[in-house]
Amino acid sequence: MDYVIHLIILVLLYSVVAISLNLLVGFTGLLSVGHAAFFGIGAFASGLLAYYHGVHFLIGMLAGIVIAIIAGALVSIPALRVKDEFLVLLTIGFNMVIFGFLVTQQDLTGGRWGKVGIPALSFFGINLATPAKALPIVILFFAICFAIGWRLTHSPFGRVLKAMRDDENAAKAFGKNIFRFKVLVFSLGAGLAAIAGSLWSHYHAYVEPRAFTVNESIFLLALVVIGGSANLWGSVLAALVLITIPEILTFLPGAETGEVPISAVRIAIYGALLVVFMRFRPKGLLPEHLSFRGRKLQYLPITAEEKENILRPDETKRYSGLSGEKNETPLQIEGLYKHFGGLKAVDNVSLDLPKGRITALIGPNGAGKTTIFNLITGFLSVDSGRIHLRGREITNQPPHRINHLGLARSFQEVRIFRNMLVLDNVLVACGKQKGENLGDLFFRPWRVALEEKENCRLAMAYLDIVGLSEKAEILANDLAFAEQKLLMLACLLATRAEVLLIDEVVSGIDPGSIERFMSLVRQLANWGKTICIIEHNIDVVKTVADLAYFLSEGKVIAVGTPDELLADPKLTKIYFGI
Amino acid sequence: MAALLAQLAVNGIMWGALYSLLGLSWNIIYSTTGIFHFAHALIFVAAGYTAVLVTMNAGLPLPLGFIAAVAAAVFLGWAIERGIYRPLRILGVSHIVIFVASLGTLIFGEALAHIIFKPFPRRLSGFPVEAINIGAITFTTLQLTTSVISFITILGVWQYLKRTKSGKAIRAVGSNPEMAEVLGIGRDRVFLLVFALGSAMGALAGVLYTLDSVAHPHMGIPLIFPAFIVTFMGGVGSIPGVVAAGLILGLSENLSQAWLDSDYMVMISFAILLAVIILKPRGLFGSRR
Repeated sequence: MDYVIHLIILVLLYSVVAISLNLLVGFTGLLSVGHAAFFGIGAFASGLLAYYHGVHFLIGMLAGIVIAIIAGALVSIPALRVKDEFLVLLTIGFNMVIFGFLVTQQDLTGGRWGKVGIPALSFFGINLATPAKALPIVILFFAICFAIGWRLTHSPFGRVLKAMRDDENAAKAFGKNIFRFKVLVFSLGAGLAAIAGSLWSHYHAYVEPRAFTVNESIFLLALVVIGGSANLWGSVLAALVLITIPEILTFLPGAETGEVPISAVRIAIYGALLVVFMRFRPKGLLPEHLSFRGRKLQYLPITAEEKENILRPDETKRYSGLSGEKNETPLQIEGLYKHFGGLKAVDNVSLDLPKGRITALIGPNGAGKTTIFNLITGFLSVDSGRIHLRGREITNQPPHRINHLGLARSFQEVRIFRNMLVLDNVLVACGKQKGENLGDLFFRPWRVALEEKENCRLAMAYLDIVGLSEKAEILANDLAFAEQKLLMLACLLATRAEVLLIDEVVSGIDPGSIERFMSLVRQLANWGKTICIIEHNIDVVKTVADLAYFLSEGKVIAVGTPDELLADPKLTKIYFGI
Repeated sequence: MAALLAQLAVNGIMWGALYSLLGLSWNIIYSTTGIFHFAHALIFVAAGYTAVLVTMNAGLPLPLGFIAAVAAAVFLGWAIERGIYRPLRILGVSHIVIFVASLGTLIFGEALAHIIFKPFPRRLSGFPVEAINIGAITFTTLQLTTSVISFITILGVWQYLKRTKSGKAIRAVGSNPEMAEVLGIGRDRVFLLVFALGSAMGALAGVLYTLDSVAHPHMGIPLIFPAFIVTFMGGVGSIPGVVAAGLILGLSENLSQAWLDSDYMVMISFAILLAVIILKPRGLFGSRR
């Protein structure tokens, strides 16, 4: 019986570590192959504190969590700059360094063989040395960690993580501070792993570095992937399967005699399982989108008046008190330069976007139009020149801050959060939310719930405006191409930004939707939004734009109404090459 | 102290040569296919054991052991590409999925080697190891041979990539797979070619290492890490980068032993890599990707 309980405890502890790794790998798309290091930090910190100083395991656990969180934050900072492959390497390296540290600090950690005699778990003076007695404590911590994991991932916070995973640049454009979220998720993942580590060392009554090698990290990764990325129950199920099945193998004939090395057979099986799963069930035992919300979502319908309100610039919120010229030209650009090596992509461009007008940037491919958008929104750094939004300089500010200041953009290519519901796509774009803040998330849940309900209603309204409300509950990836473009537009509206930069949104969509888009943009401008479009469809430019800048080879060569510009034979020759 | 440092520097250059070869064997596969081929570690195991079986068990001469090891490694590399990576590519899965499948292959293969060969180290002898003394510095004929074979192989591969048609095809696929496809360069064929080339180089490095040390079911991972470090430190797809990074890694690991215990070696090599990743994310000679 004790043996069965022992197995249950192992499954629960590994579930916690797998859940903590799933936060990184499954939800945020950060491929970490060094997670056992955090598990080990928790085990050694807590175990050694109890061993040397007789500290209670709860205090040791706390110390382990703190150290792991600091280590996690430190790892995450270089990780912010690097791509998948480097992150693999970086986390392996971190794991090796921690392992090396544990092995070399013999006096402290007992070196290669670790320390035996870690005090057992105890609670109010009751010693919990047997598996049966330890079980309730382990279940308790499992429940706490699972609840934390669930709250983090099934909330606006988790929505941002998934958005970063699916498209980091789009998440930035919607005002998400990638840096903050990556540091947070690394720290949280590390902290949760340390909880399991602490329990692990006290339960086993020993700690040894060998339990926290890169191989162990690979095993943890296997738990996440086989169970199902971004599915917490999947991680639990995988821990159950990958820990109990090999144990059952030890009862096979031949195991006793040592004919076949059982530990190697076990490892071979889980290696083979990984390959087989990747081949036949790459989303794992329990995929992310196993079950959609069963109930049909009900929202209070949006009235026509409200609809107008949510499309108008949010005057109350940000820019009250400004008047005069700054109010009339919300975006002013002076002498903008951007060179890539010898190529002058943007060469001394100055332009103003008047309030309530639609300005078009036109010109042949490679004229520098999209580069200008990237410079304005902070996706590229400006070589020289100044950009003012409502009189405030935003040159070289990070993209998320520019979004917060009331300027939003769409991308030329389709950038949506493919593995998220259509509705969740729009919700990500709905500005800064209380539920993205850990304090509110855990300590003021009612505020989060209230705001979330209202945001859902708004998001449905934006979907309704672009004609996608029927498809709110399907995966964005399952939308048709034109619908994906409309979804991008809905997201752009949901930012409620005052200045909108729209990059070729109508290319590839049907005439009916183009018609709808044009009247919508006109309506937005009439209500006082400032809009800049890049467009190759001449008819759209002629119909919708009040003013156009003609760009060629990085320079503005003409300004005027679209009709004037397109009547100029010199310009049409540059544009069409004829 | 000066004599000690000189000796350690010589050791460092010799290890550096082997690291360069290990690095290039993995780099050429990664830079061309984009696959994070963790299972490459198995190539070293397969090569080491093949050489042991042919030379020690069957009693054949060592050069035959080398040839058999290269053949076995190429076969294994092809089997992994054809049997595992290509079906996944056809399914159009993400890089993460292919990476995890590669990890699974490695774990499975290591365990299989453990079951078949038992976890006992096997020696590979047959090389006339003699000490060469120059002043206060000592090195062996084996160390010298390892360095010479490594550098000649790297030079040969470099010239091959630069001058031959198939070598240029490899570089073309590495820098722009779609364009190469349009130009009629079959991607799958080029992939098989680089897996053969990378595995063959890996086999050479694996056997040279086994001659110096032993064959062991778990020898692969300690050899794949330097390959990763060298690749990313030198720059993905850069042969001068591979050589420079290999030498830097070998020298720093060995010179540090003048002051530190050898247990610190892993920490030092990863610390160097970390510094390079942070300061120069594309590596010392990196241009592509």
